[in-house]
Amino acid sequence: MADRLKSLIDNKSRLGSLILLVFACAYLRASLDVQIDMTFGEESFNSRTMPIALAVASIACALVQLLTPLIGQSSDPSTPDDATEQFYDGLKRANWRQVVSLLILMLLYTFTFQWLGFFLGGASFLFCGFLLLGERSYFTAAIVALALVGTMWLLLTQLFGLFLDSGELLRILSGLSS
Amino acid sequence: MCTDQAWSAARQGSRYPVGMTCRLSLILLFILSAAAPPAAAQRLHLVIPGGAGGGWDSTARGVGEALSRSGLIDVVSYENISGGSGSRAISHLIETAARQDNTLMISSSPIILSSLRGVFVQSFRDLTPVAAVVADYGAFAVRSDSPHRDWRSVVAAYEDDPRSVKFAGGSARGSMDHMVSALAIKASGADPRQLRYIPYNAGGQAIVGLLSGETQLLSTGFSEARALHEQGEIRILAITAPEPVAAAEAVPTLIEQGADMSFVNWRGFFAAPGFPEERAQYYVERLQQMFATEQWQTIRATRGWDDLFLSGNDFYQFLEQQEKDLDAVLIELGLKPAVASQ
Amino acid sequence: MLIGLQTAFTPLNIFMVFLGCFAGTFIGMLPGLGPVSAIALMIPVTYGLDPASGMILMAGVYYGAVFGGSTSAILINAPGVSAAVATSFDGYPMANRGYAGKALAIAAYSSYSGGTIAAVLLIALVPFLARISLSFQSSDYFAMMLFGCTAIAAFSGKGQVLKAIMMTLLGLMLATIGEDPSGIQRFTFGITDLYDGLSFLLLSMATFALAEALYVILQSSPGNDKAEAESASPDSQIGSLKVTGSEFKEMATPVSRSSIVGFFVGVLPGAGATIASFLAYGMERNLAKESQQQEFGKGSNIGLAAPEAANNAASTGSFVPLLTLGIPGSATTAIMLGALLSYGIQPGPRLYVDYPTVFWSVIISMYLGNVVLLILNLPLIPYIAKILQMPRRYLTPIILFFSLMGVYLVSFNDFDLQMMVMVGAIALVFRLLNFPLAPLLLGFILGDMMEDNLRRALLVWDGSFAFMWQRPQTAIIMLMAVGMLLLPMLRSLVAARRRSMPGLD
Repeated sequence: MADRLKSLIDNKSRLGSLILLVFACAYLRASLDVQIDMTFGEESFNSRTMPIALAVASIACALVQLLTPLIGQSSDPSTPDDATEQFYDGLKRANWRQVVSLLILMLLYTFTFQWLGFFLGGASFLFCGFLLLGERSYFTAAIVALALVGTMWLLLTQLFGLFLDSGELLRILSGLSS
Repeated sequence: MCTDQAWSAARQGSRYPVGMTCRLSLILLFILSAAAPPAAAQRLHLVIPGGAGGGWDSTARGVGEALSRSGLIDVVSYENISGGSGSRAISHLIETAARQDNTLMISSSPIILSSLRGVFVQSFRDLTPVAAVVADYGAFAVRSDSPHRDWRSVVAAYEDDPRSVKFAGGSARGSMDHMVSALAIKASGADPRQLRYIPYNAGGQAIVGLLSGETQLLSTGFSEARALHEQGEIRILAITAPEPVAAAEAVPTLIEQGADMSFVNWRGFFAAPGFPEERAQYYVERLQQMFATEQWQTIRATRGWDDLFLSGNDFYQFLEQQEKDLDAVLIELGLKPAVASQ
Repeated sequence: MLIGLQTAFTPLNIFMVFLGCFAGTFIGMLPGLGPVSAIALMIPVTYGLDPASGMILMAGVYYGAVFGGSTSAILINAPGVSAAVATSFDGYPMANRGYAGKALAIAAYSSYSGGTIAAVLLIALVPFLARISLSFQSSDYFAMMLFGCTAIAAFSGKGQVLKAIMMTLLGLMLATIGEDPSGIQRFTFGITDLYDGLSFLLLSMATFALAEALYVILQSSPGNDKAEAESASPDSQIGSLKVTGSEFKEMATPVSRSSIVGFFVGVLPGAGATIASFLAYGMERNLAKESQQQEFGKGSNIGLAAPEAANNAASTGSFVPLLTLGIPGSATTAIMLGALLSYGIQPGPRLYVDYPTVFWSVIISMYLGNVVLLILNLPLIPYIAKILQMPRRYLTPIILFFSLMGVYLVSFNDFDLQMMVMVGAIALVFRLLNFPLAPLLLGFILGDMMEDNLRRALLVWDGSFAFMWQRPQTAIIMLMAVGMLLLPMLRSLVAARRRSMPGLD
């Protein structure tokens, strides 16, 4: 039995279904808390109906996907198939360093957006991104980043008349001067 | 294309660093100069609490266009802050009040409804009401082949069987079109709790709902229904204005048809809390001058708006009265959360 | 109609339509700025022009933006407008295999064909179309959304059926976030930024553009410049527009079929180009031969051509309710209505009868936009496609930046940006686990409209589900949806029987 349980996570379809199952359960829990407008006609179909139906259907699908190996294929379900083995092998060799650093960089960008604003934030995001992915010349990276964000900024604000936040930092700086 | 450009710039950059530096410093200079705001007084920054292309957006841009093209204000800029049914723009204005001396935010009747229904915690009292500029009225319309020829016959059919007159509206339940319908039914002496209101995503969709025969009655803004009424596709039975409007004098008001009710969907401008009195006065004057301009007359006529000018205390009292009316009907319909749930 | 032609073909107007197409393509390529924003941005520019030139400029901008949207969907898997989602299903895999130029060319040809067929239908059927566009009710739209869901069959290859269904359900669940039709907040947990729900752009950028860009990085080896240099080496195919004769032949029927379907779906004010593209994609996948079916989702010619043709035909079709009734059926036509009004044109039943000149010149300028787009963009395609030859170390951060910028330009809210990065990271996990992300987006797009229409239908029918069999239109569409799902099964059944009875062959 332990082997069978282990097989739940050594197959990527089942791992994904497990994640979806957890999500669907949380969603189901939350949909029971959705308010209902009692005055909305005499309907049997209210604000909760659709969410609950969706959650139940998801849970059912996820369970089918999860439990199929536990019931059927009784011979040796715990042996991972070749594809899964390859997958885990690939994961180990995958380029996690760059992906994780890019994700962190994006989060940094979104959280500093209010302070740095569109121009500074965008330029520094691109600059760091280029360097992270292997650009060696700081100079080229800076030029490309500034030129690109500058062009976009000019187009959007000057040509299209959109308002882009210049950021708290620039505001403080320009506030000092005026 | 711009990415293409940047790529070639990148390659050039490594080869011709000097030229690029010049360009770079020029860009930087430009940005810094643009970031520093020009001297105040002739500037207006309009905050729009919804996305581009919506009702608030078109009104704000229409007003801004009239102000800048008639030379009343030199520079008008716009900022769309959508989210939270408009509450994000309000909190933004409150948080940054200190640097918003040139800023006005557009809003309209739904701000009162949203506060009442607890969609957001703020109300118009947290801002400085500056002036209302545009009035739109609610209109009730039927298909041109409908048996109903006036509002009274709709009420009679409603009292007979509320299901036989379903109201289509261009917004969710509990919002403007729904409330106006309920107020009108209530004023006609029928039970508004029996109202069958069918919500659509937009006014245009509600009109389609009416024309496709799905619903019998349409509740929408007069400006939205006017064109189809003039072209004979639909028939406006009643308008919620206190007296007939110039754009359609033949359309009777609800009051004329025995339902003592009028409702104005105003659109107006608010400023941050603690807005300096003289700044408010300045913008009120400019807006008032705008009414006489040719530019405004054109814009107003194409959109089917009615002029409505209220400022200062008048505006505030008007808002309070509307809040009271809406509160009463929300409670009667059971749509208001009992003493702010949670 | 002839007077309309004359108005359209002045040198100034021809210049206008070129200018419009160019500006529109550029704006449309930026995710977040679709046709709606493009037109909204151009309205102030056209104030000084006379109505005809202004209208023609708009038409150019409009078609340019639609094509620009397809471009970013194909090249970097970033569908900035929902109508371009189905385009990326096969367009991006094709570009990924090194046929970016060909993919863009197919998109250009098929949207041109879609536009042409739609224009012909429009001219031929104009007196009847107004009635068609009003013949659908909420229950029919609901059935149509169900029909649209059959497109997910395309992502349910071997052993994938359940996964595709689960991802569709996930998309439907995400669509329930925010205010529902009865004005109740669902799954917002008191966070005001969630009140209006997740935006389409956020989800599409996170699950498509972001997850894909990161996935590519994940598979590359760090610091291995040689391998990168190789992959970025000039590929003779990438800029090539070449589509062979047999490929044209293969696409001809699906394109014409999709255009007709797309046009009629576009005529319906409650449906529009997105639904049209999904319907066409699902329909062509189910009608395709078995060998062609395998190609869907991996870079099929038909899979790219069908939604592009349908999408463009529907865009033309959506002008029917606008011009004949004065009713905007979509955000795009709503903004177009604003533009028309500012030129003093009041669309409606009278426009066609009283001012046929205006009516026809609007239609002709729309068509002109279509033609110019093809002339303008075909020579540009090789250059646009070369964006992909940029080294990864530049391309990826730029894709990420543009996706973030696009989402910001729609809401101007940094909460959306944070949300997007998180959704993108989760989507990457699903991508790694081999769960298809396209059904997620499909479910999300259809979800809102499906529930809205269902609940509206129930209200109209006083809470009864009787519309499913008592209203013929609804019943027919539902039966068609079921038929689409059963068709592949029937086919394999027939094939199996043939095999078991060799005498018949």
